[in-house]
Amino acid sequence: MDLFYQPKLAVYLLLVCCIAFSVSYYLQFNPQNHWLIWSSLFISLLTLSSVGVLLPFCTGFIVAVMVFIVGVLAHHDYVLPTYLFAVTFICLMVEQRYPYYFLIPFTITLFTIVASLQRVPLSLNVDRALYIVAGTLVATLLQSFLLFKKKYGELFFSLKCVLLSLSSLTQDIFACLLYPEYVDNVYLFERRIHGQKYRFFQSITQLRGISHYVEKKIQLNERQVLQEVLNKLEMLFDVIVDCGQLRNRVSDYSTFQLCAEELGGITKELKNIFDQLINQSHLNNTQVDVTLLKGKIKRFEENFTNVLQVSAKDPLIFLLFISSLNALCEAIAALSASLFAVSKLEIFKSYFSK
Amino acid sequence: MVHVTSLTTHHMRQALSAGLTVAVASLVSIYFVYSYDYWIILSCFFVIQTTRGTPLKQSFNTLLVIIMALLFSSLLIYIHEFALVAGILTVIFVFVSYLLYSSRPVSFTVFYSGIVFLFVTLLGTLEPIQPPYFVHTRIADAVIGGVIGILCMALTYVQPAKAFKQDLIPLLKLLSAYPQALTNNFLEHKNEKECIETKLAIERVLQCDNSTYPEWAYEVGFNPSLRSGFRFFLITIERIIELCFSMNYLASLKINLFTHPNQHTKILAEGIFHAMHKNQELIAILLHYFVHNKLRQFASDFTSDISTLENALRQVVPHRIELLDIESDYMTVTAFVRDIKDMRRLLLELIMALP
Repeated sequence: MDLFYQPKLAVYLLLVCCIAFSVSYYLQFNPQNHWLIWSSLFISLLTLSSVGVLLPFCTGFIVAVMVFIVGVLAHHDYVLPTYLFAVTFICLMVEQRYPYYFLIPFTITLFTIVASLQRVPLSLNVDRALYIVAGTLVATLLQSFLLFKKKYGELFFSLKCVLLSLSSLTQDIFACLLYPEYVDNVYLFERRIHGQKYRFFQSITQLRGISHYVEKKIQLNERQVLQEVLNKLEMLFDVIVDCGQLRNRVSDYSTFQLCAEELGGITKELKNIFDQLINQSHLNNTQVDVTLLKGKIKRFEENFTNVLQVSAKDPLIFLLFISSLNALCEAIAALSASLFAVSKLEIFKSYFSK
Repeated sequence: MVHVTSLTTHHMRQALSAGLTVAVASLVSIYFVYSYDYWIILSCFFVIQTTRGTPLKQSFNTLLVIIMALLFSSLLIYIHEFALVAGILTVIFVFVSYLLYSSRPVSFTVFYSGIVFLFVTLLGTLEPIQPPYFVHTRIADAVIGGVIGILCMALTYVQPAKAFKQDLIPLLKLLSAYPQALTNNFLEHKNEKECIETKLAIERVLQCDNSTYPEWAYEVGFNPSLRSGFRFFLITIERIIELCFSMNYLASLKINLFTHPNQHTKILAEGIFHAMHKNQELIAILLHYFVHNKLRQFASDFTSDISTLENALRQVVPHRIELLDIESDYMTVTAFVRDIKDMRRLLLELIMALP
């Protein structure tokens, strides 16, 4: 995790807080002024998790309407529970239907509950709704002005997350081959691999969502370059998974001790290469050089020819593994070339020229 | 781009249960509230949002987070300087939000705990206080709400075995048509779009940890008597999915071996087609079991086709493995056949393990 990778995010949150608290301070004569702070802070969290400002904007208005209604119903002791039941039921159904937008129905229900037991006269109820609208405007307008190019930053941040998850996945898969404890702790190792795959799927879905948003604002040839990066990332994942099949095919794990040094060398080199890819994803670097990795694979191949082919029970699986490693090399080189092409696009050049 | 889950009876049940719990909490808060505020209902609402693996443990953890946040906000209430309070809240809000959003992706429980802490601190600190103010009244209300939430959740608790079966069905449905699409793509370079769409759909299912995949079986503290069986099943299913992704990659290489087939390659193609069809049949048997809770009778032989396939492969590729990499297509088709064999082994292991 790079804490300082997105300084604009921190500046945005800081500005939302400052404006919300300052405006609330000047409106301190009104007992409902705290709703402005709540709505601006909570809606700002929604703007961070969605791709545009439209959804948080609409959520703010829905919240204002729901709070107004519940303010009217708060005076009726037995209607209120029915209303809260309906709101909670609908919001939870929406949460489960659209799990990615979990925070939106959650916020609506939260505000409705908070407003439900505060019995205020109609004028203050109206003030409450207006403050919620004002808070929504603070959060969404600030995001539009300050983070209008956030999506490019978000795009490369997501790309970095994807590459990090692929790097960790590779390391965890190769750990199954390097550590003899794998045989007795299959669940523990597989759980780690599952966790890395989960992170990859989450990151690549986020990347797809943001690139879909960015693609609407760029030319056709630029869109194709961006799409190519996504395809190469998916391909790289498939190849890594293909390499990982060796761990399920070997019946005698002591065989790995015969090639532990070569496997260790490949693992270390893959870590270096992924670090280079991550650096390449946000700096205008040259393409990643896979020559060293090819050398390590060659050494493994020599070990296979001289040792494993004779000593392994099923040498074919190691040959298939070597083929997958060579494919991994090519996939990394292809991805690096795609990333280089992206960095050359005019629209991202200013982002890269830091 | 947004993943949309199809709603099941479990989702309906959970939403209904949550709605009723909040309604009960609101009725209780009318008559038994200590702080004359919304903490009973709010605490109840926070506590019922759990995953299915360890709901009680998560509820207690959430209640603990709420109490901690209330204690912290109580400290801030005693600071009468608005600017100082605003400054502290700003620092907490910016720090926690930045941490949560910069560390993406994070697990649902971590994200949820962070959000609950933030929300309760902000609500607790800025809410106008009716004097006299006592921190223990808010905490008492939060505990009452938490207990109501936990009790209602215990009453509407879904049996893990039933929930596990229901949650695996979407994934098995996606897998049921995938082998055939992969085979067509590999042999005839057809159905490429279908393969990509199915792959993306599987990826989406695997990342929804509360809705469409029983990720909750991996949670620490899950029922020990069910844990090993569920986890074995999930690990095996994931290995099958990995094999599908591996085959997807091999299909994308677009080999030319079957473009102008001779007699041997035709037999090999038929062998691949037939073997994958049997794999698809096994997935259908699994799906039938999870949907109808009954193992379907099957008469098919699931071993001889693999032997036939291996013989057909030996007629096409060199016998000596050091000659396999002469032609890249030989390596690719050997890898594909190996994946088919591994898939068969895993599917048979799963079916043998069914109760």
